[in-house]
Amino acid sequence: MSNILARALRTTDGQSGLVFMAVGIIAVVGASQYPIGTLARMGPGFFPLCLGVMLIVVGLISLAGSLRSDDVIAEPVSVRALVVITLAVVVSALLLLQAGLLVAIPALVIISAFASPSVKWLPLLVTTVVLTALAYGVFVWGLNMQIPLVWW
Amino acid sequence: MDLLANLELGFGVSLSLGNLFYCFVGVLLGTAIGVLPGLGPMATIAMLLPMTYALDPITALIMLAGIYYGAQYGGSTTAILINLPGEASAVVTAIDGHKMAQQGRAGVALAVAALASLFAGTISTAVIAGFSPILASLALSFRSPEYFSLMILGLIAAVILAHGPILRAIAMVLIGLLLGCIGVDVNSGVARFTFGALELSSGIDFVAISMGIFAFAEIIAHVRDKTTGSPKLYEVTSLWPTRQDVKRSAPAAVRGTLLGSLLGLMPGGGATLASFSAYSVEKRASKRPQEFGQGAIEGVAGPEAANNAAAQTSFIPMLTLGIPANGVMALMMGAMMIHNIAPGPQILTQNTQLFWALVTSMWIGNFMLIVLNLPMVGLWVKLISIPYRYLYPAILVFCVIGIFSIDNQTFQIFVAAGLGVAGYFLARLKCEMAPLLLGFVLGPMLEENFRRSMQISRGNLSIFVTQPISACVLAVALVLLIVVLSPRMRRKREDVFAES
Repeated sequence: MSNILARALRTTDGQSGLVFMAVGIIAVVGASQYPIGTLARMGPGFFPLCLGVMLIVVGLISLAGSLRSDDVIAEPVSVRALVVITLAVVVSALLLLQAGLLVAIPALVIISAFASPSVKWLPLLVTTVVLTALAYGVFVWGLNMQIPLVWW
Repeated sequence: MDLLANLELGFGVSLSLGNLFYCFVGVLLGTAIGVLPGLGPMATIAMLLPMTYALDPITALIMLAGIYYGAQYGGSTTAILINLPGEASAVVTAIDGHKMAQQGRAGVALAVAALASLFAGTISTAVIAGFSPILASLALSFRSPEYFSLMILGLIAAVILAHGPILRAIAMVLIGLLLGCIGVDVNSGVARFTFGALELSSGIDFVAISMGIFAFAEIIAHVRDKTTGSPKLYEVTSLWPTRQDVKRSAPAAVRGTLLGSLLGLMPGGGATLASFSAYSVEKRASKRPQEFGQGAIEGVAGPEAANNAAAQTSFIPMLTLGIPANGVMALMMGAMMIHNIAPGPQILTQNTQLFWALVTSMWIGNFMLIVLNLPMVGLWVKLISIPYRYLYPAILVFCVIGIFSIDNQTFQIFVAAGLGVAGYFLARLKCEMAPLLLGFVLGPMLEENFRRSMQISRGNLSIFVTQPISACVLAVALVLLIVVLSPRMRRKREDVFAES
């Protein structure tokens, strides 16, 4: 029995069912903090509450379906790409206002390069220079955007 | 003649030097992304949205529209030459188009694809011009219940046409609707789901969500497996179709155009559905069905005409009703709202110039595409060999600065990064992103119209079925849902998507 369950939770149906239910529960809990109102006079909580309930129902159906599903997820999560790309975006966002465009863009390009297993330094250097120049040319020079360039 | 005067007004604007230039830029970029696998029109339009802030709204829309239908052209080029459809709508083109290339008739296939597209583009431009005013005048009598029902129909159609299981598509729409709830509720002033973050009071930014779920999530998913070897290319020799080719492909192009124009109009319709349907129609109508899959020229002409026609007519529901039919139209609508233009029936009366300039620019753009594509096909194909490791940092750079440029704040960049992670995991569970975006865009409007309808009817839900137009629309939605959920259709639908 527990085998079937464990297997069901490794299918796309099972996992997506759990995700939908989780989001639905968050929505229901969140929405119940706000006035619900009546159908004729809906409060701000009414609509999200309905959505949350529907999402939980959909999640349950999906979970039930997972018992008969054989669509087991085989592909591993690309942890490296996930971490590196997200890190690159977050770091560059942090640097953008603090250190300026001419620091944030090279940081973004260089960090994101580590998403692929082998980093070739010369092409990376060229890419960094070209993209930084491009960003400057398009956004600062071309579109006249107000972005801090460097920190001093 | 009202129509002629309107067309003249439109051409007056769209033929101005600046608009011609941006139309050209749009179709150029569109062709490029159509050729490049792994960079779809959704991500590109999202990426370029912020750059159009500085432009005049008309010019911005002309360029963004150009990207969309330009991508249809580019996608078929690679489908024919290397059996690698750049866009989903070109998947069926690859079946017979690539066979033709193997038989040394690549040039003919490309030429027929381009000419069929031009023909379809011309006709569907006329359809938009003729049909939109009718629909818009009808829509002027719509009130909240009608709009609510129309949006429900649109969302259901989006669910049906999503790849993968229907249940998950429904869930994605619901999640999109919920994400649309974030921010201050206009009716009560209550800040919903902001978790105390002041920056979230105006909600998740449209640009941030589309970049997160399309650009960031796709990069995370593809950064590893995009090692493009050099594909086998087939020589493009003669571009000229024989008389026999013309005789076979002309009726196919006409059928494809009609079918595509019709399917583009339907909520949820669009280029991909149109090309798939056109292919099966051609196969059935043909006297030589056995040639399909072996390089039948009708199998190129029909779907190519259909996807281009549908790409263009799908603008009609968005422009006249304010209801986007698919993900790309949701993006276009977002672009209009960024420029403070509310799509809807009033566009034709209040923004006459914008409407007709956009319509005529599509026609001009189609001509540009022919010139751009046929003689320079060799150049485009070279784009495929650009390694992904040069492409994705560029996408990241444009996204990060693009999101920043919305309000000169970095908060939405973090939101986009988070949504990118969420989008990656959802895509891994085979959940489609387009229904989510559609839900997000329609969410606030859906809620508003639902609340207003309920106020009118004093909480009586039957208002949606007692109003005739609303009842008809809901009936269509219900029929669609039943048909798709029936076991027989379910299998068929899976077959169709299994081919892609």
